[in-house]
Amino acid sequence: MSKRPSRFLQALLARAVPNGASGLSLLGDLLEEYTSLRGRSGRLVADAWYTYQVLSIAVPYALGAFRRRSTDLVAKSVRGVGLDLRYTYRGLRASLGVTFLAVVSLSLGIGFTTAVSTLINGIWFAPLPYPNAERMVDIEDTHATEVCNACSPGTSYASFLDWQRDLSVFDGIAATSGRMRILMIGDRPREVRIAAVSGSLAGLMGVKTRLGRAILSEDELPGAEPVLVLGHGLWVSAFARDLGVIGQVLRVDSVPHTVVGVLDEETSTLDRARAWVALAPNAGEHSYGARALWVVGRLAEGTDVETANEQLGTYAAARYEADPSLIPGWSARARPLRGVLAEAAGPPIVAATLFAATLMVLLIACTNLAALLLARVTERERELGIRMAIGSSRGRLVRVAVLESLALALAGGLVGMVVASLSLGRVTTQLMSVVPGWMTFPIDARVVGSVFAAVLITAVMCGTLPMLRAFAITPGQGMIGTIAGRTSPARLRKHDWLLGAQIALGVILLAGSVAAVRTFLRVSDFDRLGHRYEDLITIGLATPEGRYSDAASAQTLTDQLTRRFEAHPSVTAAIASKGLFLGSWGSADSPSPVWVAGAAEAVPDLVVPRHSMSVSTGYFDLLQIPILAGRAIDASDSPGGVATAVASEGAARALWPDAVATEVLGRQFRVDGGSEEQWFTVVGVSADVVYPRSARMVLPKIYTSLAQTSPTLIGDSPSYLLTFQLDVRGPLPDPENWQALIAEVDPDIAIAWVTTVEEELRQWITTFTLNAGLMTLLSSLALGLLLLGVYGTLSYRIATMRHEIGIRVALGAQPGALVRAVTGRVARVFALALMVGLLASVPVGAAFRGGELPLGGEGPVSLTLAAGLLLLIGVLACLAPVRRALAIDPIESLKAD
Amino acid sequence: MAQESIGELEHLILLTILNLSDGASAIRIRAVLESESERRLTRGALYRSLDRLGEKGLIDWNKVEPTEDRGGHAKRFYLVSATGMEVVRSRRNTLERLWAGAAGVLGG
Repeated sequence: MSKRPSRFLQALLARAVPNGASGLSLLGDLLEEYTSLRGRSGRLVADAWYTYQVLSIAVPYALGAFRRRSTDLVAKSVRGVGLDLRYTYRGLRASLGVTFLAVVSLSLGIGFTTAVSTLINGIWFAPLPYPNAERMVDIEDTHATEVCNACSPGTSYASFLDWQRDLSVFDGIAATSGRMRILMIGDRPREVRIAAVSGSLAGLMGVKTRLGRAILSEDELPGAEPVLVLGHGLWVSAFARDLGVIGQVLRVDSVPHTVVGVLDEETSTLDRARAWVALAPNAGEHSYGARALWVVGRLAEGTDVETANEQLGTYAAARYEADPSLIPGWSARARPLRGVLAEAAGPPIVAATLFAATLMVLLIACTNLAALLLARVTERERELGIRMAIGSSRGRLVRVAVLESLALALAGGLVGMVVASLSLGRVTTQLMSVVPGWMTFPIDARVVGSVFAAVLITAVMCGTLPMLRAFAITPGQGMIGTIAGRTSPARLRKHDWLLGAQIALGVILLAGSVAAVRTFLRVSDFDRLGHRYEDLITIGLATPEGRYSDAASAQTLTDQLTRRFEAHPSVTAAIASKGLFLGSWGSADSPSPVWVAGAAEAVPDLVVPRHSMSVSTGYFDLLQIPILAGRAIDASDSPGGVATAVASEGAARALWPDAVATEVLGRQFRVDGGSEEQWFTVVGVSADVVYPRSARMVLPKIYTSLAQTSPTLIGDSPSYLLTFQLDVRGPLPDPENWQALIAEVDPDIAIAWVTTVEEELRQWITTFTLNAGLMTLLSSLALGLLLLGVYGTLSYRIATMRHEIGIRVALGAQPGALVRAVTGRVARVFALALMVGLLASVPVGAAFRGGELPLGGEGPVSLTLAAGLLLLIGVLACLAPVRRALAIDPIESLKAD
Repeated sequence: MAQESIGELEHLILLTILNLSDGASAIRIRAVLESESERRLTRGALYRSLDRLGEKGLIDWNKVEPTEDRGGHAKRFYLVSATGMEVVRSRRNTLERLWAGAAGVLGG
């Protein structure tokens, strides 16, 4: 039997203690003591003793060794990372040109892509800034026959109260109705958009107040004291943050309202309303037909839109069946609020176009980066070969390549974020006054994340993968291959693809942007409108509700104001007009149908000249709208006489399809205003005017005499909104002067707007301007990136052709032949990609033309312009590299190898 | 050259080796140290200290050829090297100076 301790324990100890130091001696000493102890106390005690000794010695030794090893490893890694970083820095510095191009290209790409994506996200996709916004829905009355041609007619107060009381699918429901009203601040009337809101709205929207309280349900009750809640913006601009504003009594449309609260800055209203009053409809507005409200609700937890729609439908069917006095066919529907708001913000085609353009720019930036990095790796093949030959590990080379790519992507990303926040800051400042409260534009982490991820993946893939391929060749081959100054055909092809992709994308983008700019130019040519627009001022006046609702007082007001305006030294003539909105406008219960004399039925709603107007004497002269037959509205059309009208050509065709212009003179039609009706006789036919937002679409119009048309004929506008157009010579008078002048007639009249007609028209075409501007920005960016890309590709190619160029020059090649040799391949790629891009632009353009706005692919002109511009960019990008190629000294280039 | 610094245990080990002038094996060093200092000393701590002293060049050793009962492992007899002697002397001088200064308080 062995007199030794367990072999396992001995082996364990031998492994734990350091070899060669006192370790071996220790093993011997322990054995010696073990043997002695075993002799004295027996095997059991000796074994236990030995086990204890092994553990108490081995564990601290093992721990110490582990600590030392990890410290070594960390130190080594730190040293390695430091070394890698130093190599990375050196590598980037060595090819400073490529580094600079890559960072510029990336920062522009990332910056503008992020900015535009954030805008698109804010307008069309970002969650609404309200609690449980994903469950919020828009609820509205609908009619099967789509009387208003798919428009939303609004909802009646009666329906709102029914739904609030009876429907269980909503855990909150609120109504609002905003319009411009006159708010007296001090002794000055101001036209302010004020929303009448139900008391439930504050809770639904999670409203916070800066001072006082929001509108409550009690404020809606009959007989409640009228109260006013100011929006934060109005409180700051009109009350200079006055903390004592609570309790002040302000007149809204001449009715005193007590200020009870100021909304918090963070509260985003649903529309552009700057103040709130309580929803307090009059008796007439309690009818189911008075559809003037916007109703929003929040689905109860666990309910979906389909269930809500089922309940709304069943409920409406039961209600209309129970009450035969109601017009049948009406129902109601709920739609996700975010979708409804997105739709209202702009046609989806605009979002799609901008988004596609943004993606293309990002794609071009990534392709550009790929080409630059690929060129860089190829240039460094020789360096790689040398490094590998002198023992650098492949791991280190890959690490350095990844680090370089990451450094480029991060630098580009950081500068890009600065570009994004600066450009977004500018844009949002511009937009704040025109966008509704729910629209906010914080830089979205998902947007930044996606953009960054795309760039990072491109950078790492294109900076690293070619290098992995380079490892397939032996160090010697790598050195010889690049010493000869050649590059593989496969790599050249890869470059061609990248360049071609950039060019093709550039053509599509450019064609879209040229089309957008051409559309903008066409709609901004106001000569096509068919009326005068220069040297004219337009003033919109809002009168106190009910004060000028009879014909005589309205006529007196118009006469007095006209005289005052014409007495102004800058004004040579003044005319007045007022909108006369004919047809049903979606509300089948309160329509203003037009009846042609002798016809059995009213003029169909879809062809009725909706945008008609009542005008004063001199309207056609001042606006230079030609009269084609008969006469214009003049002084003979006085109150009490036969009511006259002038029909535009389009309106005459709509009302009397079978008659030519002269035949409609003397014909009669009736406007049925519900409570009253009025007959008009056509005395003239005028030329058509064009809708400002379209290239050719005419607006059929009937012009009645302002003096003869009852102000309440169509009865839809509680305040009497009168528009004056003034013929102005010389500089524009100060708006304050207009206010003083109007106050002489009635101090309660507010100026809704004062602007030039030209400026007003420009506001009509804001969408086109914005679209053209954004598309121009994006395509300029793409062109810039393309310029960098072509320049980089060509520079790279010339660098790899130095040897060949040297030989060609030595053999007596002419400059022309050299240029062909250098640019031949690029030119072929350019031509091919241009063709592919042009072909792709045609279907893309056709898709855009199907939309509401003519945005892209505007036929051969846009495409030719785009192609020409790209060719120019191509030639520009070639200039510097070609000059460099021509300057190559054959002796130097051959010596260098 | 700056003198190597040593801890208390290392100091005691050096003194023990000097005391065992006829043969300072690790086993004996431990036995003497435990009995003289009246403290327990684990083998792990002793051998690690011996390793450290060796690395600092303060001790040296003679090897006795391996024997069967030691499992074929050589036995070491430790000696204090010249540098070790210097360190021990210097430490004694320091302690004597300090003792002299504290004699008034401690007595003796």
